[in-house]
Amino acid sequence: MNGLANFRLLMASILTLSSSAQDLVTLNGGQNIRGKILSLGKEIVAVDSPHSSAPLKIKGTSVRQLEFQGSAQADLPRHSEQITLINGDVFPAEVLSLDETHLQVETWFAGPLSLPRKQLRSVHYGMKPQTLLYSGLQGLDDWNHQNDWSTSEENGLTLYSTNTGSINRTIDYSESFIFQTTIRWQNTPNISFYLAADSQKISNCKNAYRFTLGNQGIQVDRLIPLEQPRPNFSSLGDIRLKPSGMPKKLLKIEARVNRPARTLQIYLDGILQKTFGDQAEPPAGTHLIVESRSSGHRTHELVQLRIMEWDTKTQKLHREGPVEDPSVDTLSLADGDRYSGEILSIKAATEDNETLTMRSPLIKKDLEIPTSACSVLHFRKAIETPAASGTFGLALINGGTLGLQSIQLGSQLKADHPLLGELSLDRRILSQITRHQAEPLKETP
Amino acid sequence: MRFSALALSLLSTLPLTAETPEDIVRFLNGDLLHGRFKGISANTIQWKAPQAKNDNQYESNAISQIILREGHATRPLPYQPTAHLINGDELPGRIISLSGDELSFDSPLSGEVKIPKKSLARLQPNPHGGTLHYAGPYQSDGWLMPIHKSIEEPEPEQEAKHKEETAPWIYSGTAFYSKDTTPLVRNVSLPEKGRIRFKLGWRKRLNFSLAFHCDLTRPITPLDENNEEAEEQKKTLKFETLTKLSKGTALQQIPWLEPNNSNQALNYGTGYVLTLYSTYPSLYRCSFSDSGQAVVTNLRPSRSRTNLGENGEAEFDLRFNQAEKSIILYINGEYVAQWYDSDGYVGKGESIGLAANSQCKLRISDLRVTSWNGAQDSAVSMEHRERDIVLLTNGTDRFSGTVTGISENKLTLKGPYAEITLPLEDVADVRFAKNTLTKSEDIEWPANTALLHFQPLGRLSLSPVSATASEMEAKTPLFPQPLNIQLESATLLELNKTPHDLDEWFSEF
Repeated sequence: MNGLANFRLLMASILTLSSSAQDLVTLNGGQNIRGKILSLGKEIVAVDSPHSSAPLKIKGTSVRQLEFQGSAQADLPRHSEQITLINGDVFPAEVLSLDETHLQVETWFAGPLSLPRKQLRSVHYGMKPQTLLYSGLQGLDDWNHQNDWSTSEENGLTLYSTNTGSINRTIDYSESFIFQTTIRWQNTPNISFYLAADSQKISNCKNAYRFTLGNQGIQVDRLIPLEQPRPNFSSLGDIRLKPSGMPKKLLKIEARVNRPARTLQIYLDGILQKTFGDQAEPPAGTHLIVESRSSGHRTHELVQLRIMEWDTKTQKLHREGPVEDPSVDTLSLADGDRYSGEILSIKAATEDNETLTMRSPLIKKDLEIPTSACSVLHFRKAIETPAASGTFGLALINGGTLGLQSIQLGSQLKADHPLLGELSLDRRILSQITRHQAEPLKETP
Repeated sequence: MRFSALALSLLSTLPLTAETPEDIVRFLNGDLLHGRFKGISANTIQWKAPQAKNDNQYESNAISQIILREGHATRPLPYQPTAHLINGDELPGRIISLSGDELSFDSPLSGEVKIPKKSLARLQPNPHGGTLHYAGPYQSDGWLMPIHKSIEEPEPEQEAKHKEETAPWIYSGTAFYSKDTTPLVRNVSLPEKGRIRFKLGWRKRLNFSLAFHCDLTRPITPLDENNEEAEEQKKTLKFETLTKLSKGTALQQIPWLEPNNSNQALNYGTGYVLTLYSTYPSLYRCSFSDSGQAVVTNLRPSRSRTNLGENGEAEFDLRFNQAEKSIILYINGEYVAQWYDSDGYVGKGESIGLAANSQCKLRISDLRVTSWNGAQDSAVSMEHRERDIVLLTNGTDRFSGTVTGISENKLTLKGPYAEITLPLEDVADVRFAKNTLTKSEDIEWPANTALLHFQPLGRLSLSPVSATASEMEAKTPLFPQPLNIQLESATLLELNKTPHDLDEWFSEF
C-alpha cells in the first residue's frame, strides 16, 4: 500500500474511534482527530494518537480548532474577580492593588500581571460559585426515609429506590436557591421533588414547589395552603420530554427558585428550558422531600444532589450591565449604589480587608469603600478600542477568552497578547483554541 | 432647578371665553349632560345646563364623573418638580424645604402646604429626564384610527351615526378602550432618547402591539424587483403618509389598512412594533427596501420572560436610545427584556400606535412620553425598606442612605460611606424608605372621597367640602390641613365608580 493510502487508512481508523477523555483537533474540512495535543508551534500541531507509534504532525494552517480535555473544573483554583480588557478579552484574576496607572492582579494560570489602566474596561467582583447549602448523597443516615430507599456504591455513592417511598431532610434554604440533581432510571421515571416544603411528610405538605419527572416530561406544580382563595394545587406548567426514549436514561435537572421574583427556572443538562411564574406568595418551608413512585420494574437512582444559594441580585447586576459613562470611572456596589468620578486606588489595609478609594465631584471627601462591598468597576475610555484581538481565540476552562498571537504549546502555552505582551499560561486553563482570520494590529498610542 | 419646555402643541390652553368647551356630567345610571359646573355645596353639585333658566342641583352620590371643559385645562400646569404620595397621588410644585417630619411644598394647585414625610413616597425635583412630550389621554384630539380599506364609506348623512356605532376605540374618562384590532395612532413627538409609560388593562389572553418611532409612511406601489426597470423606477417611488390624510377630527377613521395583509410595516411605516403576550414580548423592526418591499425582522432580546395572566392590569415602561440602538422594557417596575438593533436604529418617526390583537380587549391610560436620562434602574430596584434612594440627573450616580434635609435648593444625604450634599438641580428622583411611610392600607378614606385629575400631570384624592367653578375646598387624610385647590388646571373629577363602569367593559366578559 502506498504512503497516501496508509495515511488515509490511519486517518479513517482515528476518525472512527469512539470519543473518550481525549483532546480533539478539528481540521478545516471538519474532520476530527483525537489524542493528546503535545505541542502547537509556528507551523505544526503535534498530536499523540494511540493509533500511531510516533506523534502525528499536522500543518498548523490546516487546523481550525483545538479542544483540550484537561482537568475537572472543580479541581482547579478559582478567582472571584473577572477582568475585561478594552478589546473584549475576559479572564479571571485576583485583584491585588490599583494605582494611577496600573492594576496588579494575580492569576493561578499566568502568574502576576500588571495591567495598564488604559487597557481596562471593567473589573467584576463576586464572580464565584454560589454558596453550597447542601451536598447530598452521603448515605441514608443523612435523610429521614420511608420505604425502600437504599444506597449503592456501584457508581459512586448514590441513593436508589425500587418501590414507592420518600426521603426527606431539612434544608436552610436561602431566599433564592438552586437545586440540582442527576437522576438515573430504568424504563420510565416517576419521581417528585418537593422544595421549600412546609412539612417533611407528603401527606401533611400543603405549601411547596413540586416538580415531577414522569413519562411525558417534567410537570411543575405549586402546593398552596387551603386558606388562600385558590385550589390547593396549581399547575405552573410543564416541559415535554420522552424519558423512555433517552438512550442513557440519565438526566441532570436544575431548578432555580427566585422567591422574591416568584419564578422557577428549569434547566436540563445545563440548558434553560423554561421559566415558570407563580402568582402566590412563595413557600417558606424548610424541608426537601424526594418521592419515588417505583413499582418494581422501574428504579430511580439519585446520582447527585446539591442545593446552593442563588445570589440573584449580584448576578442581575452582572447580567444587565451597570450604567457606564465612558468619560468617567464608575463604581457599582453590591447594594445597588453607584458613584461616578475617579477610582483612585485599591489597597490592602489588612490581609482580609481591601479598600477602594474613589473621588466624586459631588462629594467633598474621597470615599473609602471595602472591596467586599463592590460589584463592578468601569474604567473611563482612555483610548480607542483596538480592532484586532489576535489570530487565535483562547477559551479558558473556567470562563473567559483571550485573543492571542504566536502561540507555542508545550508544557505551557506561550503566546503574545496584543495588549498584555508575552504570556506563559498553565496548560490546565486551556479549554479551546480557535484560529481566527488574521488581522493586522492597530498601533495603540 | 431646571424646567424644560413643554410640548405646547399637545396641550390646550383655553382663554375663558364664551367658546370655552362645555363641562360634562356623567351619572351613575349612564345619563350624560352637557353644561357648566358651578360648584359644590353640602354634597350637592351645582350645574347650569344651556337650556335651563336656573342652576340645577344634583346629589354628588348620583354622579360618576365631571369632565371639565371637555378635558381641556384653562391653564395647564408648567412642568415642575412633583411630590408623589403614598396612595399614588401626584402634586406638582416647588420644593421649599424638607426638615424634621414634613416637606414644605408650594403648589400652583394648593398654595403652600406641609406634607407629612410619612405620606411622601417619592420626590422628583427634576422629573422624567427633563421633558414631557405627551401625557394623557385627556381628550381624543390628535388620535387617528387607520381602518381597513375595504370598509365601505357611509353616506354623508349617516356618517356621524355610523362612526359612533362602528368606532373601534372608545374614549372615556382618561382612558381608551379597544373594541377590535384596529390600531390607534398619534404623533407624540417621540424623542431620540426617551420613555413611553402607560397602564394597560386587558381582558382575555394578552396580545397587544405598541408601535413606536414609526413614521406612518409607506410606498404607494412597491416595485417588482424582478422587473428590469425596477432600478430606474426606484428613483420615482412614491410614498403616502397616514397623517396627511387626517381632516383634524378626533378619532378620525382613515381607510389605510390593506385587506388581508397585517404586515406591520404597511400599517405603521418604518419603525418598531413591540408585541406583548402573556409570557413574553417580541420586538419587530419594520422598514422598506429600496424597491418598496416591506421588511419585518424579529429582534432577539437579551432576556424575555413575563408572567402576565389572563384578565389583568400592568404598568409598562419602554426606554429607548437611538444613539445606543437599544430598547429596554420594564413591566410593573421590573426589568424584563432588552434589545439591541445591530443594523442601526431604523425608527426615526415621532408617532406611536396601539392595537389589540386577536380576541384581546384593552384599556389604556396614564400614557406619558418623556425624555430619558439613560438611567436603567428599574422602579423596583429603587425601593428599599430601610434606605432612602437618590438618583441623579446624570443617569449614573445613585446614592442610598437617609435624606436628612432639603434647604436652599440643596439636599443632604447621610450614606454608609459619606455625608453628601447635592444641588437639587442635579437630583432626578428621591424614593423614601418604605418602613418610614404609612401603609396605604392603613389610611381611612371618607366615603365621599373623589379623585381630581390635572393637566398635564397631577392627581389628588380628596373629599370636597365646597367649591365654586374655579376653586375647591377639600380635605384629605394625607394632609393635616384642609386644601384650597385651584381648578383652572383640573380636567376630571371622579366622584363615584359606576356599577356599569367601562372597567366592567364589554359584558361578554
